[in-house]
Amino acid sequence: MNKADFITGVILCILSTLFIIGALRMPIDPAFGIYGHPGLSPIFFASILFIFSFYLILRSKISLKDIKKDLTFWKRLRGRNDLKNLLITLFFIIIYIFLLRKLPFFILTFFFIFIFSYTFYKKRPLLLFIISLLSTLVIVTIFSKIFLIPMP
Amino acid sequence: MGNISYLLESFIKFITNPIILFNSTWATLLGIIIGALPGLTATMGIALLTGLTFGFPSDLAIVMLICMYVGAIYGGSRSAILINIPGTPANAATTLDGYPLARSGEGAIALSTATFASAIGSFIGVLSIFIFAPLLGQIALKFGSWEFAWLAIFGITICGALTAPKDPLKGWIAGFLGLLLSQIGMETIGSYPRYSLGLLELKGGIALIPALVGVYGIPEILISMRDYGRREIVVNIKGKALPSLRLITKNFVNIIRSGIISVIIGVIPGVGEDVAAWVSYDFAKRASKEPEKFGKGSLEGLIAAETGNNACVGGAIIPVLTLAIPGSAPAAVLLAAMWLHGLRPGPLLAIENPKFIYEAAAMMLFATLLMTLFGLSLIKLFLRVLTIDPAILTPIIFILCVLGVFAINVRLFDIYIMLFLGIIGYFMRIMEYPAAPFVLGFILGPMADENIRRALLLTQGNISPFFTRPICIVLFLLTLAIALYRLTERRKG
Amino acid sequence: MYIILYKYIVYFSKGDDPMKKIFRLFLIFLLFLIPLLAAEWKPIKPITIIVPWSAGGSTDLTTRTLASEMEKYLGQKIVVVNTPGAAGSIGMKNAWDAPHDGYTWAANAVVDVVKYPVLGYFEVTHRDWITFWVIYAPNVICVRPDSKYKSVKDLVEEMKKRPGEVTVATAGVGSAGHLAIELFSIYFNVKYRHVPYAGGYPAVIATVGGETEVVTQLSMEVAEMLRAGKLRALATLSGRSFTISGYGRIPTIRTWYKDYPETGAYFGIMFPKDVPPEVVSTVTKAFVKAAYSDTVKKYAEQNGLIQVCIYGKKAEELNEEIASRVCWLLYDQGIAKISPEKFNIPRKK
Repeated sequence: MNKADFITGVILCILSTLFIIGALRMPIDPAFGIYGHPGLSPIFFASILFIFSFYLILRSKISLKDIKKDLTFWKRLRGRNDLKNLLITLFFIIIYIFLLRKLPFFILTFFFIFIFSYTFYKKRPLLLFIISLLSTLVIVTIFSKIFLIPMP
Repeated sequence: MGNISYLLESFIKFITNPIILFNSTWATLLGIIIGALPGLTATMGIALLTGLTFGFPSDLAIVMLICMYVGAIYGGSRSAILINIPGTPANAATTLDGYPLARSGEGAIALSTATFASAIGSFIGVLSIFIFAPLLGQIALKFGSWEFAWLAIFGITICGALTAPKDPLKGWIAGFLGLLLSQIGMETIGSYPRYSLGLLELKGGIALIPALVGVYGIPEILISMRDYGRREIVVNIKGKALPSLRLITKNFVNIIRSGIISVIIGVIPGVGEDVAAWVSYDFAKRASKEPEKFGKGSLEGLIAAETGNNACVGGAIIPVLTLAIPGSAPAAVLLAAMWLHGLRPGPLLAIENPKFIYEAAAMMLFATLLMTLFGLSLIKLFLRVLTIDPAILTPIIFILCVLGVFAINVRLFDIYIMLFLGIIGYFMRIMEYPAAPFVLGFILGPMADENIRRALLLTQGNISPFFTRPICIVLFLLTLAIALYRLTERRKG
Repeated sequence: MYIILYKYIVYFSKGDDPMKKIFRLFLIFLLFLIPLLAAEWKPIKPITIIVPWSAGGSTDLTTRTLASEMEKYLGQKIVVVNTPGAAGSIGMKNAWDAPHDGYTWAANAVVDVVKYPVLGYFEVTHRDWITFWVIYAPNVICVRPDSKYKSVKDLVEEMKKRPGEVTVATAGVGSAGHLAIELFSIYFNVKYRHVPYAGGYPAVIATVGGETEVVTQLSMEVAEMLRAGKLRALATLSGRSFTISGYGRIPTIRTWYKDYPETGAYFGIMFPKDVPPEVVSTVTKAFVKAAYSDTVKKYAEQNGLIQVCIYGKKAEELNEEIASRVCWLLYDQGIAKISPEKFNIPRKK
């Protein structure tokens, strides 16, 4: 966990520094003067975030001596199966979002639900087929007919 | 006394009129569904129903809109408890204790307790409309930029330590990251597009709903699939469907406290149900005899959050009726709907149509009754969600998240933001950074930014109003007390 | 086309042959069908109006009222969608990016539509839209009832005495209220302190609460507070005096300053110029009927607004005039960074 803390701390420190630099480069609006400066709050928030992240780095380094090899972060993904499941899920949802508006919503959603559940459930494809079809139908009807929301 | 009889008279009129009863029934049910679907909020639900009820007679339409409002704020607790994704921002605090309860097989008791807490909360709201409307309405006008600035600072002081009992530092980091990211986009004072990298979409900023669904929904989807096959499905959905009377009496103080806090927060313009739930939760935790149980399935915490967000509805309606100032985002749409129907709520209501306040209280009472009835009868159905195999449930939840986020602003960009923050949210989750302060940061960030700068602008840098205005003094002392309490607590620990 | 058809009908009507009879009927039927095909647009699915501001605001209320009336004449549901963000430019862009088939419209105020290009938000100018304005909302200068300003003159004198210290609440940079007070300060050559809020109503509330001294927002946003006696109107910045029911008559600033350039906001709907022509004619008809309907009139009356019906050429002229005034004002004040010349917007004398 400490290794992860160290990395997170570094990333957040860089991020908050970037935000502060960005804020300092914002122009002062002559109509409002210094108190209306758009960078005021971001500088404040980013500075505090920087202090906290810096403390996170310090804290992780101190205990890094005690625990040389810290792998709890990766141990959380117990075994390769977990990682595989995670990546498959991520892959599916990214593909789905990528294809929105490129394919008709109904077809895309139906295939998404069907393929997603079949990949994990691995049995009774007919049942899954019916479930996917029905749920897509219900979702599309409710959103477009009752909620009157234009479909993506 | 005349007022009470008028309240009851209107209430009986609602129950006995079949047209009102029928339409309000479906409005409440639709409200619960909209609330339970992640991304679809009470604000959206009311705006939607305003369109649908345009041609209806005005009293029927308003009763339906109030049913929708109450139903949606309540409905959000269903998904918060069952799938760990708050249906509306108001229910984010509900996930903390509701979901652990559901996972440990106590879903039935969690759902029914939340229902009762919401009902009591609404009832406190009704009472406050009925008794205190003219009095509380005045508070809304007392809130200037200085008071809002303090309120935001107060929110920030509670946000860090709120949900990270093990490691407050991570809570603070999550909170300030949320505050910082909420600064992206066009700001209110000078309309300067901050950190927009020249992209029009980023000028609009990161909205609350994509952030909320992102950090709650996507990690939940990823984790439930990552652990597929290892996490056992809850098969036993039996259990008591009603909370014991002892639970209610034990939490009597908790309920009253959450109710009063939330009504006042509801009255304050622009601060709504989400903040009310968090503040109630924080106070309950502070006052509790067993604060260590909070976040692990404490019924006390669940009651505080759910009483809070529903009591806030009543509070938010008060300034609508007395000043024509909405107390929260959904109340703003409700006010607009009243205008569209030719009703003129506002300062003149007491002179022109004094009975309308009691009629509105009766509408709330009626909505509360319907919400409780449907809430309780739907528990068994909702519990079935827990028994569905995640392989089938997860993709459907994902589609609902996508559509819910899309529906808010009809922007594909919001879906990309949801995915992006979702992946960040996943890493936050496995590294034990709480999601709650992050989302609270999104709510408080714009508020703090806008009001602190405006307050400084008004006085050209003179900060004395921050410490001399009466409400400011109260808020300042409250913030100070909480900060000091935190420090001494840590020293002890 | 009609003439040819008519000739055929005359030709076929001569005989008694059953085939000819049927044909004749068919041609008469065609005769009736043609005007429908040429000029009428029958929407086959719901129409979406994108309101680029939050639900409950002035644009939203106006649009929902207008849409409820237009639905009746178009025979289709009109769905109002709120897409707030980046001063309304995101919603406008969404409406522009949708297919230009007449099924996606936008709703906005004229001052907003014209300012997007010079502020660098969005390249599409007011000339790319066909606009229909239904509501005119004049700016009203309001103060608290216990304020020491009894007239516009008092206010101007105070602004001269304390340059840059009189606080004025508006709905933000570039909003109708801000443009009005900018013009006011140029006309009287005074300085004020601009205090922006997140919307018209918050700005009004701030003045009622005493946080700011003056508010210059639109009539609908102050109407309720005027009626309740929580605000007092000094003057309207529109060219004509008007009455808010339940409050009384608000004198125009021209009562005292004859050549004051008027400000106010027109609200309405619009869609891209290149939609099919039959859409334009059908929507125009529906719009005119809706604009003069009792619902819209009642809405205007209740909210202290003025019902108008401006479309076609007249709307284009109005847009040009406002564009040249607003864009150059923003540019001269350093708020807009892009010169209106880039979009061929001439400076008004």
